[in-house]
Amino acid sequence: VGPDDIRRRLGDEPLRMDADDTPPPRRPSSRRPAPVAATPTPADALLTRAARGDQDAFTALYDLLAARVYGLVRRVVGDPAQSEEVTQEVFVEVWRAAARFDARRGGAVGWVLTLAHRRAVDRVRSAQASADRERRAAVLSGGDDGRGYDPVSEQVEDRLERERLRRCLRGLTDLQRESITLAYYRGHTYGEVAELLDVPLGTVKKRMRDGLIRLRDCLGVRL
Amino acid sequence: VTPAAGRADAHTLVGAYVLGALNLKERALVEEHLDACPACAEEVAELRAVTAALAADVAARPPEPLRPAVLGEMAVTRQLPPAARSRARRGPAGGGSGRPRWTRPLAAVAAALVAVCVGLGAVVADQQGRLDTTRARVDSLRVLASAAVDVPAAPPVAGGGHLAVVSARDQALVIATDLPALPAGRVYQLWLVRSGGGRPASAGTLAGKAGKTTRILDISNADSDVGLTVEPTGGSPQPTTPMLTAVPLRA
Repeated sequence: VGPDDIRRRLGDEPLRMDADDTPPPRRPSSRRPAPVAATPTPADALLTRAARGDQDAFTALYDLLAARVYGLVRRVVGDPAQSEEVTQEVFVEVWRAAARFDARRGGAVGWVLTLAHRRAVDRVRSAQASADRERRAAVLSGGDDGRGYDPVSEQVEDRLERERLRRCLRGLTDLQRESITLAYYRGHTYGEVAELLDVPLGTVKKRMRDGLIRLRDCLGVRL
Repeated sequence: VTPAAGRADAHTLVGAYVLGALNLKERALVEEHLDACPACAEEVAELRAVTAALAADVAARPPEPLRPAVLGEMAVTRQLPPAARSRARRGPAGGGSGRPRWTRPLAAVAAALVAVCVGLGAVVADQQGRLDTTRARVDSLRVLASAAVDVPAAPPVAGGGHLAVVSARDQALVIATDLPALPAGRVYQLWLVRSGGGRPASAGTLAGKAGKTTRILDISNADSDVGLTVEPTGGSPQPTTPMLTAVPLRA
């Protein structure tokens, strides 16, 4: 498993497309720094076509990303019915705002997942957040580590990818790892994370960034 | 906060930003910083690949009914125009045609503000308690949006003045600037022109005056342009004089 495999996992899953529509993604030939979005992924191509009103491209994009979006939303929101609702909102927003996608700010996969995370977080931070959150915390502490429900079928490649991520996560300090997972998977602000972990705000900010950078290097992320 | 302190602060927030752990104000601070710092923007893009891996790790098969629901809603959902269509033209292939470069981001800002206004409008529906504050915010955003539109670059109106249109989802913000005063008994009238060529629908009247006049119009898929004519006071059911201008709703 090399960096290219990581890259494929992140945004480049094999996908049948019209040959004349999508040139095969170029791999960066040199080490970093490479210009952002130098390598359009299938997701980028699909989103670009969807922005022009191509419904088939949007459908393919849904099929490519639905499991990741739903899984992330479900992880953050907890409740299955609400997660389904939020996932639907996310994809309709992707369709609606496809023309606003700016490839220079990172790829389509990152864009969609960022949108999904924001919507999920908005949902848990909304008016009834506290009540829901307690229920959610109860569910989460009840041994459901987020993988207990109908995970996508595991291909060997996926399994290797997961193992790699786990290994990289183990390479973080506890504080880095917890800061990242409390924010990303539970939708906490960094202020809440600081409170939960009982460390100063500045420390949490710094650990979040350090931890992500360490993961980036460990995963061999390249643009 | 001094600019330097602001930058330093924005930069330490990059990790929390990528993790979605900021409030709206801090998020805006970071995004402003990213616009000015390409290296930081690249770092964000790289760290987004990390959070994408975290998301992939918890991927789960969505319920079966979700797919038809999403695709069904897609089929009836209108797409937004590019926020800054001008931005695309800035690329290597883009020529220097059209408006001066510096004016383009302003129109983008205005479009974004209108989108926010419209978004807030939608939020209002199910959050009654916040109705008044939200309305006030919509009004102030409307003022901001009209301030952000670059007026000299807006399409000119025959006879004098300019008419700018910024649309978002199902509403459009119309900004009339410096329309010449009309003789007694006459007013300007706005029209929504249909793309199929049907009869234009009245969208209200305006007085001719110096400075800006804004209107928010409800628009539909069928509407293609905002037109302007001179009509007798009170307006007409259909235009009785030639259009002074017709500004496309969607760029």
